[in-house]
Amino acid sequence: MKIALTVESLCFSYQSRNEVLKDLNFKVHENEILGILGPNGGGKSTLLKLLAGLLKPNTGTIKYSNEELTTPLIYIPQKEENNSAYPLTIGELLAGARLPKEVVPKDEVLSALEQMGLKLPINRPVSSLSGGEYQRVLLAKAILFNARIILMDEPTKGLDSVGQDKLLELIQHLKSTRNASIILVDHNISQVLKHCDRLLCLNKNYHWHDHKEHVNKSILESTYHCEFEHLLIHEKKGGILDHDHHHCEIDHHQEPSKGRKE
Amino acid sequence: MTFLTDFWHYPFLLNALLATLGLSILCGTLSPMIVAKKYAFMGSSISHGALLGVSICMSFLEQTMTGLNFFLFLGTLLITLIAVTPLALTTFRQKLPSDALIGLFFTTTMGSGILIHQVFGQTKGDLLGFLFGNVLTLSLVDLYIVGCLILIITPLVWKRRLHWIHFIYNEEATSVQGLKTKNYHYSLFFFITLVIVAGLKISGVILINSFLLIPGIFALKHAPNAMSTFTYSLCFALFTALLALVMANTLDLPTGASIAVVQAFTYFISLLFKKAT
Repeated sequence: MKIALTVESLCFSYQSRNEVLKDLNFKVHENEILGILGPNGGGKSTLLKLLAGLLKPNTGTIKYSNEELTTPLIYIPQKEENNSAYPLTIGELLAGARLPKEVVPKDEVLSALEQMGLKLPINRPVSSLSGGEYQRVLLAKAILFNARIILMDEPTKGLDSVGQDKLLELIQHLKSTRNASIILVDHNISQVLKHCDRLLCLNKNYHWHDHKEHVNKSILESTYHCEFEHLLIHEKKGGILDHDHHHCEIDHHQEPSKGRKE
Repeated sequence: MTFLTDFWHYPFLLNALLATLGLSILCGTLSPMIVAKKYAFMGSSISHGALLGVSICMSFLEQTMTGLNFFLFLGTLLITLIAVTPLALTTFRQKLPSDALIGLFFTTTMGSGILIHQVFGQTKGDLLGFLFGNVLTLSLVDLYIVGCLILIITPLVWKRRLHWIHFIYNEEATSVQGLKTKNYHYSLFFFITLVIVAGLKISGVILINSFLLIPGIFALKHAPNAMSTFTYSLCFALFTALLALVMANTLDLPTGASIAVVQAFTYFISLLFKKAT
């Protein structure tokens, strides 16, 4: 598969604070979903903003396949980050999908909504949409933008399990039909394991990835339990990853609890 | 009907009418964006900061010079823009500075303005008159300034309404999409400063805030979509300004205060009407 995005030796810290991301290396291919997991403060949203170009890395590089600044990339933030004061309608949101180049015609807006399985009036305010509808409208925006890389910050937040499944299936459909690379941050371990092609687990200075075939929900929950602090898992070790692979003082074998989730 | 015909018979009243309607067009255009962007306190801060510019210009410009009104506007604009620059820089893609910081900005600039006027320009005019403005003392130059601003600002905003809406709705996502949000951010600050400085003589440092805020609050409350907030705000600003001006002329009331009260009253009536329907 063709590589869409390469991250090499990426380090980032906010002003005068400890490093949020340290020596991060990974690649994302076309037609692939990368799921980013990790505890709060682990640097997930920061990484997404770095990939979007909203933040600049201290050191390291982020390269897109065509190495042009015009890579069609769309950033879908959490709903709470939008300015809810404006009575923005679905039509207005989607009409602006190709700004600053052009205003999207109404028929294209309707077609994109239909592709996402939505039959909503375009004059409906975005603020009145349910979480699932809102995410699907934003996927329609990604279609209209003809995005090749889609960055999504917690798309399943606030959805029930059925809604999460439906949305992630739509994301998978979008990936395969448009040959897009999708990078999503999520806290829902089961859904990420089920729907993402590859994983990236982050906790500030620690990260690991490319072990989806070896991990399961309980291992990931255990890593959440000790918040990756003493986790020393690296790609080169290979094999089945279990509790013996991290050096945590807590004996997970003795613990009835599956661990603390965020 | 004399309260209407007065406007044609007395040039100073006609100037007042035209300038107020002009300011309504400018403020009505910017107001929804200021309110939606949560820059209400920022607008207030800039208008108070403008008093520093007025003070310096009043103190150091020769009162008998040709084109005094124009140079007063230009000087005040430049000084206010310099003072506002740190606010504009610190608010780009950042959380707003704390209320305390904005408060510190406008109390410091306003205080400095009063002190400078006291020391250097006490005999050169009434600085505190700019707190409430005086629409009856407007000159043709003031009208030309408002007219020029309408020609510059309104096309730049109205032609790109969708761009402005997306910039305010989610600055980061729109920036990733390719819109140069930095230009929009600084342009908004520039426009607000221009309109405030141009409106100082019309409605004053304090009351111009009603012009900048209430039409936008009304529009965001009643408009069915984001694009129409501009039309709602503009119509509200024009209607209330006209009503207030006629009321002030008929009842011999101060114009700036009349506009502020009429706008607030009309807004509350609209809320009751909306609730009833």
